[in-house]
Amino acid sequence: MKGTPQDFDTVYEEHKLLVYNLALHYCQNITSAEDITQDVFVKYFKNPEKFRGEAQLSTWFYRVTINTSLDFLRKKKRKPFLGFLDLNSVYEPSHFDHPGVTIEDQEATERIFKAINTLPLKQRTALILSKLEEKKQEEVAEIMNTTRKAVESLVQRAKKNIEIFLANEGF
Amino acid sequence: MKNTIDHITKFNRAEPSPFMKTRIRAALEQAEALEKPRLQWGIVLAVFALFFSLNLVAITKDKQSENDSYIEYSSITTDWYAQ
Repeated sequence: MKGTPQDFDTVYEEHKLLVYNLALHYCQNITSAEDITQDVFVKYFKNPEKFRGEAQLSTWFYRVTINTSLDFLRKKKRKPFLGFLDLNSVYEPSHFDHPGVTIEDQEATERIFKAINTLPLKQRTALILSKLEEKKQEEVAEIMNTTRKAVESLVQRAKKNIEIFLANEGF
Repeated sequence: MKNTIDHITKFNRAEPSPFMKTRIRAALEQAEALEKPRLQWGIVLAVFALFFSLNLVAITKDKQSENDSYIEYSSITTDWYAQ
């Protein structure tokens, strides 16, 4: 590991909630979120010098957590019997287990996450960052390396798609 | 019934397991432990490849000069027959 033990503790403590909760929003499962969290911090601590003087470290952690989570989702997507025909497989967690959700909201939240899991990846990321992480659109644009207008458009389309999905599911 | 993203209750910030730090440290140590032998084997293979290519060049040059000698010899014998 590169850097001092104090660096490790400081960086970990400052960013663990960001990484872990963002991973949870993508995979909705404690075990998977912990695996993603481990991968993200290992990536950082293997080469911490790479990130000195660049964009804010938290922006880097957001980006890497998003990419690591999306890689995870690609590997875990449910495949039908004839996998080569699978064009729109959707990630479904083995069991919904988001510790950030209160028990009263569990059912409604699970339903909404089912809808979120069907969104195209950019819409999903924009929605998670702005609605679940409560970042401003400018911050989301910086993380996603795009414009504020693009983020606004992605979030609007995501919300529309979620409403359509829930309506089709009878909610 | 809550059915849109705007109605979702705010999330509580969940904490990762207290063992996460230990897991990360262990994963880093494992990655470091794997890197050293890889580097050593890489150097060994590079030296071997260099040695092999130098030998190949030497063998090729030997063969070339052997062929050249053969041609010279065959032209000598042809000349001898011609005489």
